Amino acid sequence: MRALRGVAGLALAVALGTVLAGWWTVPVMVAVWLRLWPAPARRAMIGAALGWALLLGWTVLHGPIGPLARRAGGLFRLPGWGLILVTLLFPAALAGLVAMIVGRRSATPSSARAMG
Amino acid sequence: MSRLAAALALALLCWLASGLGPVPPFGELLDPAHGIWTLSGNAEPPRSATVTLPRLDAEVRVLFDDRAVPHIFASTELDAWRTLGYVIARDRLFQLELQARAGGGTLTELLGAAALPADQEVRALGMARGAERLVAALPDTSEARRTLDGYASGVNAYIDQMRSSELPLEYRLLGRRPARWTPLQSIHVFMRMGQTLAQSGLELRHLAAAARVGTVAADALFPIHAPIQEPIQPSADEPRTIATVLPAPGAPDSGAVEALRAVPVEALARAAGDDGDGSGSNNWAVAPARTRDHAALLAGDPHLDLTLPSIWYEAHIVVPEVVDVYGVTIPGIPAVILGFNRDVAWSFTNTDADVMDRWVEQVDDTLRPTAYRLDGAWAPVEQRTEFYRGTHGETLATDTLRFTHRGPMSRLGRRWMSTRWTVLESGAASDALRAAARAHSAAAWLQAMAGFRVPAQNLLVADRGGTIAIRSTGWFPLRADSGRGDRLRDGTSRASDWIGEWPVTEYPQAVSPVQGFLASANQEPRDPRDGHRYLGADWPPPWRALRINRLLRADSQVTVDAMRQWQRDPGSARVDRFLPFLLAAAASQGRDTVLAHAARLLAAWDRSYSTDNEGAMLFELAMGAVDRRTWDEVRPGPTPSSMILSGLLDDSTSAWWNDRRTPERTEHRDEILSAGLRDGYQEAVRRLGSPDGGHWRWSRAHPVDIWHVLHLPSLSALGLSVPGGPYTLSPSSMDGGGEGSSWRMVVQLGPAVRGWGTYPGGQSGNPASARYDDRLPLWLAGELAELRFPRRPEELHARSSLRLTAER
Repeated sequence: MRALRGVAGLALAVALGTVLAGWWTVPVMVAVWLRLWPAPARRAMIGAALGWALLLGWTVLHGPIGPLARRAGGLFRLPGWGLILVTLLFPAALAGLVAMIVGRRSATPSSARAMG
Repeated sequence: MSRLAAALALALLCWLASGLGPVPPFGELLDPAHGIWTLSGNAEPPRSATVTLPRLDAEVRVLFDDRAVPHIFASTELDAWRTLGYVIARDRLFQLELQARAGGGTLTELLGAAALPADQEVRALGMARGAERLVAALPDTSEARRTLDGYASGVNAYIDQMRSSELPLEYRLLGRRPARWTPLQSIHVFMRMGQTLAQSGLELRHLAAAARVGTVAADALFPIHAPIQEPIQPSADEPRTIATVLPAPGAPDSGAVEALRAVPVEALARAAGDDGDGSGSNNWAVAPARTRDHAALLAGDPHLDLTLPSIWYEAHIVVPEVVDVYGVTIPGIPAVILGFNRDVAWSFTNTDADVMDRWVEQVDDTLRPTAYRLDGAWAPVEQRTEFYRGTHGETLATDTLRFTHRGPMSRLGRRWMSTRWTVLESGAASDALRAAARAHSAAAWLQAMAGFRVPAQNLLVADRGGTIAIRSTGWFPLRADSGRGDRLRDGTSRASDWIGEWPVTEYPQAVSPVQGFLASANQEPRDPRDGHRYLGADWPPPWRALRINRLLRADSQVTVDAMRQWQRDPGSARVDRFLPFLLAAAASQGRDTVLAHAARLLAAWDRSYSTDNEGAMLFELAMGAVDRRTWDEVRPGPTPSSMILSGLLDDSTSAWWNDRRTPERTEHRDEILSAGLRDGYQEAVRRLGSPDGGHWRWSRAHPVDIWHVLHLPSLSALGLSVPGGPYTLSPSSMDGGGEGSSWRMVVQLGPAVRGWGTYPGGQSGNPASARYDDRLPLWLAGELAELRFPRRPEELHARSSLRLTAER
């Protein structure tokens, strides 16, 4: 349950940082979060992806994203669902790499277990 | 992965995500709070919104109907144009800027160095300088200037108020922001249209032919009068053919050979142009006596480059007691160009008149001329340095352009030419359009349009009183000496300059002719029997004109639906002319099994370019082969039009039929036609496979592409199945069919005026919007939507509304 709360917290932080200042806040938020609450990389990745998924969900409430996904996806030679996937994988990749840098120093096995 | 490797990978990912060289800034693009996903939130306009506009005279209401057409209700005309600028910017901002930059030669500032050749061409034509001069010449208090300023203020108000989420996708991909709009940009858009419609290669076409087969033959291959006459201004006993015998190929003209040596291959290729197989336009009108409902009918469909977003934007403008006009405008131009009001409807086709001449100049220095010879003295060459800026303002290149008193100079090897082109010197077209929109009769409309000078157009108009009228209108130059503009002129004397222009009374025209209908399709406007002034040369073949006149003659109970169907008629007067000769030629060639098979396929063809026919592709490939074999004497230079080839059919032993590649024998017509048919069949098999199994079906063999303005495939509509082919009423060229009916409109002028129309695309330039291409299915099906034409806001069920108030 604490892990779930942790992931949700990271998701909210990532979403808020993105809204306020842009995509580059994702690695910053993840780094800060991992410093405060050390956790495995997997969890950081899920949290970051979830943060952007929340924002995408908000976008869907304001207009259909299907035509846009199809057309914009084509710009990158991706199907529409592929672009949505890439949109979620990008923050996950940023978070994963940050976790590798920050996590090894701070996420000791015991603290990770404590988080879990 | 080590920590160091992870850090490096993170740095690399962030670097790439910020945009690196050709890699778009995908971090920014994918960002769901600020990136491309936010465009979906603007896919549909808000149900209702209020915005402020600077210098607005009074409040303006804009209602968007179910087809996303803005109905602008304003108190003053100026407010209406301000508002049009605002709503067009909201729907088509990127297209606005792109078109203006294309016309002003500043694409590099938006797209980078790749656009440099296009910019250099535009500036070398003098378009940037011409636009600057036109704007500078407009008095601040003139209606034209105030309208352009008002339109610009509307565009800029939108740019200023635009939320970051509204930034169009294309700007995001390019990492750019929209530039502010000025009146100069509107003139650039206007000139861009002039460039699109210019008939500019006459002199070089003639020169290239003369260099190969002599001047006499060149005159006949590119004549000043169309050998098949079905003119715009009706005349007796038409259609008629002017019987001519093509003089045999002669010895090369040594002067032309010398001149041609200096002409770059690209210039020749441009001069060759196309035969108008996919471009051009149609319009026709029927008098009440020949319509079922006894009300005048008018149809128009300009054939232009088909793009997404479309070149056209639909709008309705109401200023009580002043103007109530509905139609299409080109983003950037403050006027309704084709459309109707409560009394009058109109549509245009291009006149294809010769309004661009070239003079060979004698200069003091063949590399860097500073003076040119004029009436025995040296006149100074005006020089102007053009700077081409990159996306960050850096200088990519510079050009020194030179001008004589006639216009821009261009270098052909060691020779210099100057060009005079009406489009560079006249900018009052939108004034005339706005004045005409207020007209209450065809006569008043024509009077208002007398001031329309460029680009020269065939103006068709009909009114509720039952009058139908047409006039080829524009600035038609008067020339001294021979009066012809299809030859290079001598620049050393002012005597070869233009000496004036045609008076309007002499323009080709007709008002309510006895035949009860009028039609134009870019053909020669007037039969040479009815007027002798030089208007142009090498006219587009009148195949579409022949077809539509035939349909109009055969129907004395014309309906709106018939007009709609004719706009997509798949028949072809060209096929009717050539096919019997091809079949007869094949029959004359004895036992050639390939030829016999090809002939059987063609004989079974219904001569139409419907989507499911399987004969059109064979016919087109055969005609291409016949063309190559026949005109081997002038190839690889520009070749004569299919109208000249048609005339040659009646002279079966003409020397032109002889294929010079086979010196051992002399070919005649039927040998070339049958060889062409055999070639066409073999090419079809090679390209498409066996004729069985539907491989040659027109929809499969000839898909049509409508490209996005930046040529981005996923934002384009590609591989469309569309009826129509070369020279049909809804034409489609053989090179991908990128040109075609860009706006189809039918108007009935009864007690009330009713209009129907559509264009391929949609009102919105936002690819996230359903309105980006929502009209495409209707256009593909050949249907038209009824155009909502409310007198008052209360008469319209609006999907969205916008209130514009004055900025305090």
